[in-house]
Amino acid sequence: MNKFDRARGVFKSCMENEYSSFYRNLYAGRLAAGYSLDTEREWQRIPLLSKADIIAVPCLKRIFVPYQRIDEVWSTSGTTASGICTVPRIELRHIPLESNAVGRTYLCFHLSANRQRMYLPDPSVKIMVADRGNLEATAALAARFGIDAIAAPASAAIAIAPHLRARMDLANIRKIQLIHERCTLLQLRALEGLYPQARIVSYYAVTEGGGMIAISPENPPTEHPLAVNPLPDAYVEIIDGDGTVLGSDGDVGELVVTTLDEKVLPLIRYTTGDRARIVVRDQPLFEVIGRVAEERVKIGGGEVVLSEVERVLSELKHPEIMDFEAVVTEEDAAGIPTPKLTITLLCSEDADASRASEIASHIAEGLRVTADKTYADGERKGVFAPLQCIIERYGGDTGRKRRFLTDARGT
Amino acid sequence: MRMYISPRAPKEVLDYAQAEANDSGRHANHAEGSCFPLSWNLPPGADLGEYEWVLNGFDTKDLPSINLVPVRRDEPWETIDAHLNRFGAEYLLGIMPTLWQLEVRFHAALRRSGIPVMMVPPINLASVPSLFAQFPIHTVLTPLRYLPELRTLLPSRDPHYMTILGPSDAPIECSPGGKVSQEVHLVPGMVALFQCETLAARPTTGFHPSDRFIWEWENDRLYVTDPAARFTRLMLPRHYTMREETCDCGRTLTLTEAV
Ligand SMILES: [Zn+2]
Ligand SMILES: [Zn+2]
Repeated sequence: MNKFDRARGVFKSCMENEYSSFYRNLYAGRLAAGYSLDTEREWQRIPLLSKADIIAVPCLKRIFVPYQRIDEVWSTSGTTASGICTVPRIELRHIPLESNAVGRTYLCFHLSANRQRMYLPDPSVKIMVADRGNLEATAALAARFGIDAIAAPASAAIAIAPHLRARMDLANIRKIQLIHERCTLLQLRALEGLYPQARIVSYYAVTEGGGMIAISPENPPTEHPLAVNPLPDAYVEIIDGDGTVLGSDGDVGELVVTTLDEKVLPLIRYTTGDRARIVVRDQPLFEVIGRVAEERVKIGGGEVVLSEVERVLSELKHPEIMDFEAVVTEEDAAGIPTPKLTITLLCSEDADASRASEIASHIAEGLRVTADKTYADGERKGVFAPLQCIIERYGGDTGRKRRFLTDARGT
Repeated sequence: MRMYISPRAPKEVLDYAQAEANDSGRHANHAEGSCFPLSWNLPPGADLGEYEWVLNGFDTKDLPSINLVPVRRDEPWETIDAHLNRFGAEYLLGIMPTLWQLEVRFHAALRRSGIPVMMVPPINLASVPSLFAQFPIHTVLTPLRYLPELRTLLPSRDPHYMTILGPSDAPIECSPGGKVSQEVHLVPGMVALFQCETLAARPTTGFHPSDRFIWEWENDRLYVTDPAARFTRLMLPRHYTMREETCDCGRTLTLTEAV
């Protein structure tokens, strides 16, 4: 069945169902009767919806079944009180994937066991869930549980590694399922080093868009190791700022996802806020490279965004750097509040802390900003460093400080 | 004198419990600490797919004895079942530490009544008011220790609070009105002592023992045995006095904290 056939089926049940006022309002006037949904142009009349559009409609008004059929309510941005988006899930959408054959006993970070069951429908797969609250206890339990796979944001899989290594051989981990946050190249290389036997699989999921959308292909292209393929019931578009759909390899724009599955918010073209590149249009293969609206900070005579820091750090080729956190603070330089970027480099045990300022100047060079700025204010003279590096051992509880200048999607 | 307070206990289980106790010459004693260490294995030939693993204690600081133990996914959670029977379909929010691994059992208990599961780990407590704004939540299931913070976060709401205590946790004095009920779990998700509506409304804290276990009481101490022999004669760390009286709910035993 092609995309249009599936879409027509979902559209029909959304419109005819007595509970689906959300859909009737959404499509009113746009997809009137006679709408056949069988050309690309008609498809593009399906309205684009952002997270804010979805939050504006109360959760219970977004379902098109009696509420007793809701299996579970998922919320996004769970760590913050604001902007929480709840999504009714009608029943688990099981996605049997070839890569799931690897791993029988999972440690899952920030992922509910029910949600993990979507990816791993085999009920004999054992699942242990954790958050980053207590890495020591989590590692002790996971080692006793005999894990052979981890499903986690890359930063958590890196942070738990030294705690696990004290208790088990990391070569026993056969699969790393990357979820939630976009994995950076730096993190990918670190994971490959830490878990030498693990097959690393990227998952791209959006709660608002129906859960899992895309997964790493069997053999990701060497230059784009984090590229992913959409699942058969997910449709992916990359649009530019005007909403025009882009179609050439290498094009970069906002990722829009539509699920053609009736279970959760189907048939909305959900604008993810993620910036993505078309890697191979015909496969299709795309990679997420950041957020559309990245926070920019002006420091040392230049403008810096997080993805640039990432790029420079992976180009530095310092194998001891596994991950980083970036925080912007306002500091007082000669009486003027001046933004300062502090990059905490999470490094392996053999890292030399005395090299921090040397690395800082390499990063500044790569970002084309000045690492040290001399200022003079009347009598006062001094040097202000708008970019500073701190070398820290990895393995601590991370994932919080990055918020200030971050692209974590936080699903 | 030791008395069996579970008249329905099958004789062979009691014999087994007795033999076990004689063998080791002592009862398991867990009066110290907040962890209630239990470990048991899957029954021989068990179908892995029917089990979930739950934490065998409450406090992850108790690293040497903490472990994950198998519990049948459909094992009843009798207080939730009873609550839902009484109030009918309603939204129930669960606040549970992630490491307790209770989500799947909580989900199973709610699905029996067709209620969607909604869970928030304590780390995300700040998001609870937002959930209350979107859903008609009537009941919150939470470890007792988060009750004060929840009441601060939800000043204008007055949900039922079903509160979970570990075997070592001190219960609170009940507020009249019965909006807070307390239940003592052996391990997270395994109810040992609970309050019916009548007991929850009383000013003094009393509990009924769960019918699912074999109970013995001796000198203000409670010993609990699992009919499936997953644990035998575990002594609860707190002291209880026992009263035989017929409660409004029909149960005939009430256990009250001994002073
Ligand atoms: Zn966390
Ligand atoms: Zn009673």
